Amino acid sequence: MKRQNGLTLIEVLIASLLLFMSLGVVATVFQQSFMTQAQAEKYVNQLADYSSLVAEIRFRLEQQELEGTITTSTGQYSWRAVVEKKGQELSSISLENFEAAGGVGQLVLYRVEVEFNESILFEVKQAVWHLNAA
Amino acid sequence: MAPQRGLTLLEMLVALVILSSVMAIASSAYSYYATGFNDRGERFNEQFQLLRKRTIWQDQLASAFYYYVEVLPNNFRPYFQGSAKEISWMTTNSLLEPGRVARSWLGLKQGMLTYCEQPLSHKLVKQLNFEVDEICSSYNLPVEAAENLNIQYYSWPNLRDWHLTQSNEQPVPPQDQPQWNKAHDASEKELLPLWAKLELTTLEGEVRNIWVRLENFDVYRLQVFSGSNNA
Repeated sequence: MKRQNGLTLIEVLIASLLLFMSLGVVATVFQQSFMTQAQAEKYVNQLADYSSLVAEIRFRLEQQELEGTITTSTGQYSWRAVVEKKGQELSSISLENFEAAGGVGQLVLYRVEVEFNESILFEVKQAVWHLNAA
Repeated sequence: MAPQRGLTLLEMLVALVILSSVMAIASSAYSYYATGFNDRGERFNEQFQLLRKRTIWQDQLASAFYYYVEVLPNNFRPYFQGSAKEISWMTTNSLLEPGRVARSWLGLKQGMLTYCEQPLSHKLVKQLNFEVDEICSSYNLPVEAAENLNIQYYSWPNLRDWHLTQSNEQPVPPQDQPQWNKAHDASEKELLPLWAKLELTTLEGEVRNIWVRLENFDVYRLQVFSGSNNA
């Protein structure tokens, strides 16, 4: 039989190794770009919810609620507020000497943690004026 | 010269068939990936545009301010006309002429939640009623498709109760508390609402709540000059 000149086993192995390595790199890049896009989409959706979300939380704080959940088309957000600081009871501040007068209400500073999928998404601070009960 | 051995026709054909089928699979997979990538990109752009439009009308509504209209001689009433289906208000910051006052409108128009605006740099509003088409002829921004819109307003029932809590003199706790209403006519209450809540029903029947906190910017209280004060 006539001698044939083919590739040796080691050459084939190296060639296929190179091939699979390059395929692996390309697949990872594709996968990564897909995931980045999905992530960006999620951020845009959360950003679209943001201003309404903070407005609703502020409303709830004014009603003296300290936690709650809000569902939007993006998903469910849960929030919890802690009192960070309380001002003295007052009604107004004089524009002449900047002294506090009266005592019908109080300014309270809240720190609100907003969670999405059980991890903290952002934190926001809100100063809310609470009137004393009549 | 040494005799050379090439591939036989059969080997060549088999190799070609294998190569072309691999290429066919690879190209269909690639085009699937590329279409998916483009679709996603487009959807992302659409969502981004939607975010921009939503931000515009929410910011404009939040900036609603006390623009006083002379309804009767020497009788000035703030302009804010809100019903369950539409709102018209004055914003301090016109989109077309930044830094100037504009009359805004938000409501459903041809199946779309639409924000409209009319800059008022050279004229004053002297009537409380408004023409949607006139406002929309200057600036018309269709935001998103919607089936239904239901707006509620949270406000003090009257000026007196609100004043009791805001007065610089001896304040007294108010008799009534703010509450949610289906309409808000600032010319009756002499007040702007504190909050607006929009229930937007999408074409898929999904209900989305959008909350807007109005800044309640009052040029009288802040003693800022405005053309409407001297009208």
